[in-house]
Amino acid sequence: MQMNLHLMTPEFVMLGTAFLLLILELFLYKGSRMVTGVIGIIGTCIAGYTLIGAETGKAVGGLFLQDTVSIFFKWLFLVITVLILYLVMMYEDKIKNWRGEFYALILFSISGMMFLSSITDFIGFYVSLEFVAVCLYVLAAFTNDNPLTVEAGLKYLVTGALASGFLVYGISFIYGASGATGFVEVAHSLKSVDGNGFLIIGITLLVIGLTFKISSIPFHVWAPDVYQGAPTPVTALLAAASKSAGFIVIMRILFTGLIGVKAEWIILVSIISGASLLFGNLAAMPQKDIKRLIAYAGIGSAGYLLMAVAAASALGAGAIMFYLLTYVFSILGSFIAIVAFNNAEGSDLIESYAGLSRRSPLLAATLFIGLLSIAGIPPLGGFIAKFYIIAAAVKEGLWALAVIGVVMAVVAMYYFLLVVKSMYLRPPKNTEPIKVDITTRALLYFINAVTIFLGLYPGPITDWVMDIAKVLF
Amino acid sequence: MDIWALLVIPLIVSVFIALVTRKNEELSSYLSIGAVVIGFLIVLPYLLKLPGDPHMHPIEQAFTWISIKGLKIEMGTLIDPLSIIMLFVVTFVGSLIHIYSKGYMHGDPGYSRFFACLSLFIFSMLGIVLSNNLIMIFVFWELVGLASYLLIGYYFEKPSAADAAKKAFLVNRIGDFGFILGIFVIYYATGTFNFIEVEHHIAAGHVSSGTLTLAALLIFCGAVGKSAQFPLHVWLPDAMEGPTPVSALIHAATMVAAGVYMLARTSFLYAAAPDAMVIVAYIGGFTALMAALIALAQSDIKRIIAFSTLSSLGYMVLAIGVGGTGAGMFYLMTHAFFKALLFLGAGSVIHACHTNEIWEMGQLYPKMKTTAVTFFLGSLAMMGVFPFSGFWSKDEILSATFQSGNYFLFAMGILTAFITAVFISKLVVVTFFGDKKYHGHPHESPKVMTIPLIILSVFAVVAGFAGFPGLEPNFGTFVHTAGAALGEHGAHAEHHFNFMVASLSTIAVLGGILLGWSIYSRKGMKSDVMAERLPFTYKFLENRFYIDHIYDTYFVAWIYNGLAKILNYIEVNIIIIFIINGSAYTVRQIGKGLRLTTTGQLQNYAFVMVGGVLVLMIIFAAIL
Repeated sequence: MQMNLHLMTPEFVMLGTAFLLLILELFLYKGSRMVTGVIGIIGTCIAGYTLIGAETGKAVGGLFLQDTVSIFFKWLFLVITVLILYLVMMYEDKIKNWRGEFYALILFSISGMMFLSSITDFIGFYVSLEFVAVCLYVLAAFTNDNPLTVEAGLKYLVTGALASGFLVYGISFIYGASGATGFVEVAHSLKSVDGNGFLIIGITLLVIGLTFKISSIPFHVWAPDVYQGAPTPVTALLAAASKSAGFIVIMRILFTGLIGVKAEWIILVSIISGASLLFGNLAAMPQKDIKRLIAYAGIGSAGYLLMAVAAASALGAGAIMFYLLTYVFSILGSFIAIVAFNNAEGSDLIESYAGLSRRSPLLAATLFIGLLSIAGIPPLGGFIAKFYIIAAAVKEGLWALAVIGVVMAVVAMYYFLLVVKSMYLRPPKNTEPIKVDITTRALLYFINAVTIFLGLYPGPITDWVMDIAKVLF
Repeated sequence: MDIWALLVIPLIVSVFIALVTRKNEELSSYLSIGAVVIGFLIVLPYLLKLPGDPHMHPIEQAFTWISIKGLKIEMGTLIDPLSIIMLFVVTFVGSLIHIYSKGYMHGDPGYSRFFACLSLFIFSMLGIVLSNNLIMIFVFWELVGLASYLLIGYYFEKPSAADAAKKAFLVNRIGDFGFILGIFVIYYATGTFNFIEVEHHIAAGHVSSGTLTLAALLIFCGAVGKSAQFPLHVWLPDAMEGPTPVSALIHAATMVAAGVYMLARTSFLYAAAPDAMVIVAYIGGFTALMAALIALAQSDIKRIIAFSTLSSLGYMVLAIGVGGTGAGMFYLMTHAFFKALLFLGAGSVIHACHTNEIWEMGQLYPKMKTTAVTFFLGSLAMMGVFPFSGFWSKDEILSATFQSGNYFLFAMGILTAFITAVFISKLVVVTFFGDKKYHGHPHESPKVMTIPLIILSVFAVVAGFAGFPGLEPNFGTFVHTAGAALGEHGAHAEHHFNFMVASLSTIAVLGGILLGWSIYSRKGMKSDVMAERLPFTYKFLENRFYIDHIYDTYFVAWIYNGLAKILNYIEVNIIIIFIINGSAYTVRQIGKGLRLTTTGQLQNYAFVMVGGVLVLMIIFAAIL
């Protein structure tokens, strides 16, 4: 068996950093919370350094696959980690009974996601998934002095366990039909459905089980409560990282393992995509809390991404990667602004954002750019991403989905512009300017520049991801 | 890389002024001036190398902007003699006008906004010049339109300025609609937007002549709008509501000439579509003559110069239409110098007298000698008196027209030259000599304004020698290499100095000067003598052939009272009430209903999840 463990160096660095933080926490004195965060960021950067020029190949006898797609996602996860750790450092004063495990758990969950982006086998997939899930259950309920958070954590745990059950059940049916757990082997034995009812049940349960991580219909129910109740950095982690991990897994399983029964799952994914687009966007409109709004909009975003999955083409896969890239920057920029605002104002209600443009032009501009990018307004990155997704859908003849996607983009504009209207047109109740420290400022400038750049000059990036995406087919 | 800097610097400066240095007016103006001067310094080496290498190979740098199977859009730059000359005109005249503006706009409350808009304009204009493909040129084409809109409406608190800005913007949309259709026709026929590739497709005969004529005419619509040709010329005179440096830079020297530049850039298309060229030539010739006639009966100094600009633009379009691309570009360059000079001189006069009416000036020569002398030189160049620059460039256009064999158009050209001489002499005589009619104490403008005038006047006098027939290589050689690659079928690539044409035009000009001088230099003239002697003609010309009037009465009134009312009715009663409010209401109610599914009860969540799985399985089974 070929071990090739050096291919896993970035994952090991992340795990090692997480353990180091756990140990350090015992010795550090209470006031020095920042130190653990900074060490976490340094560890992430080292992991990034080991990822530069990473070679591709297989490890652990083929259970771990390093290809350009997994390298792309690992980069994405590392960028998310740095931004989330920064977010925790901004947020930690809010947490009364602080424990240092917060940073470590984030790193553990991220390393689990990095493993997920390299999985080639249902067993490895399930183990990694649960590893991530357990970390996230704990994180979602971390600030246990707030009843809303505890409730959120509990809901996340119960619904997650239920979804996991469906998933395992689905996997077992597929194992029954194919006699294999490796994706490539499954693909070899499953060339068509052949009227095998158990296989159809297996595919259905598996695909539906996968919708939990990406918060799409029908396993979306947890998202609004958990997004609202969880500590904001955890919400950001769920929105950015967990969703990306869900999609790399979906691409690996559907595009590699179940490609032979493509015709069947395309129908299923299309139905889920259309339902998520409609539900997420329509239900987002009456929301009053910005984190709940983002949760519903996130259900809609999952719908768009699933539309590209249903296209089942290299163009669709590339579009997913580009969408996630723009989404990560837009959503994390927005969350940094939300945390900065909450630190000053103590509220997440959209109406409390009134007049923000006069109190802090930078925070208002960041939310403006971030949210409108998610809504898909040119010339921001999100527009190009939606454009590619809809183009991929049209190219594969998914006209109905494309039409729903375009109409829902207008609805998305409506509810995000309500936030913009509140920030720019309503007079502020409290005219006191909000102070934003210099690092946060620099970070926000950078994130906004990236979002605009991805919209103005997406050429090289889209060429790059489209090139990477060919590996999957 | 330096070429990209040309685009990036003004853009950054514009944004930087708008966001950061807005409050610091001095710094804002220096940044803006710096940006365009640096641009000029970047262009200069290219220009200086040009005479040594007149047949330079075009340098193209491009990167893919958007690429999807079947559609590739590039952002790219194309450097060839044509674009180098235009870059020189834009950055050189632009630099001088920026410097002049620093004095002219002094004390204006929107000082920084003015310079931010100017830099935005320079960015967009250079974008047009550098474009290597039709989509990019269209994007920047719209951007200069935006900059022009912002600057015409600079004094937006004045209703006439706001209206003029709107008019310019809307009239240009009509032309641009044709332009974008033309771009699509070309893309449909050749499968590319890139100039050089389109040129090869056409040269290889891949495109039918009918398609070419259609494309050429549609693209010409864009130039008709931007270069203010009949029948879309109505916006340009009103655009003089903007500050005078803006009139000089945008509405005389550069932006309005962008239409001509675009025609020169696509001259391969026109060379292959002779039917379209005839229409181009007639539109140009007619615009030239009509505008010159209208200018006779105007009394606002800026309007007179504005109509002379219209007339000059007509000349340039005429040149393109008769196949004289080089002549058109040559006139464009000399025109940029002398027309910017005339506008800036007019600005200096207005600055001193606080009025635009030439009948309220008079005897300004002793008070402001620098302005008067430079203005005088600019006028001679404008009229085309030997050996000023206008003479050489106008002569090339006239001889190109003569050689094309269209003697009717040639006669129109000569007549235009005659009339131009009349009204320009009137302008000079009434403003600077004649009886003293001004109030107050006019005085010479500050140095920051007069030095650009002096520099421009030098170029207005000598720039014509770039096209001196004895010189080799001269101006015509540079520009002709641009079109020569495709062999310009049917176009007259070379212009020999035609002694007959030169003498005819000189006689016409001298006759015009004599006539203008003898009429308007009489003592005791209070207003235009023409209004008394030829009242009907004067009224007709003063009202600009009643074209604006016709547009207002028939189109605008019809659109306002008819179409707009109907559309408004539809909008208010059908779209808003039914579609917008109705669907928004429905959607909101659905949203509220859907929100109820998230009850907060964990049991319900589990129920929704399991129910969802069952429903999906049933739907899925039913479809399979």
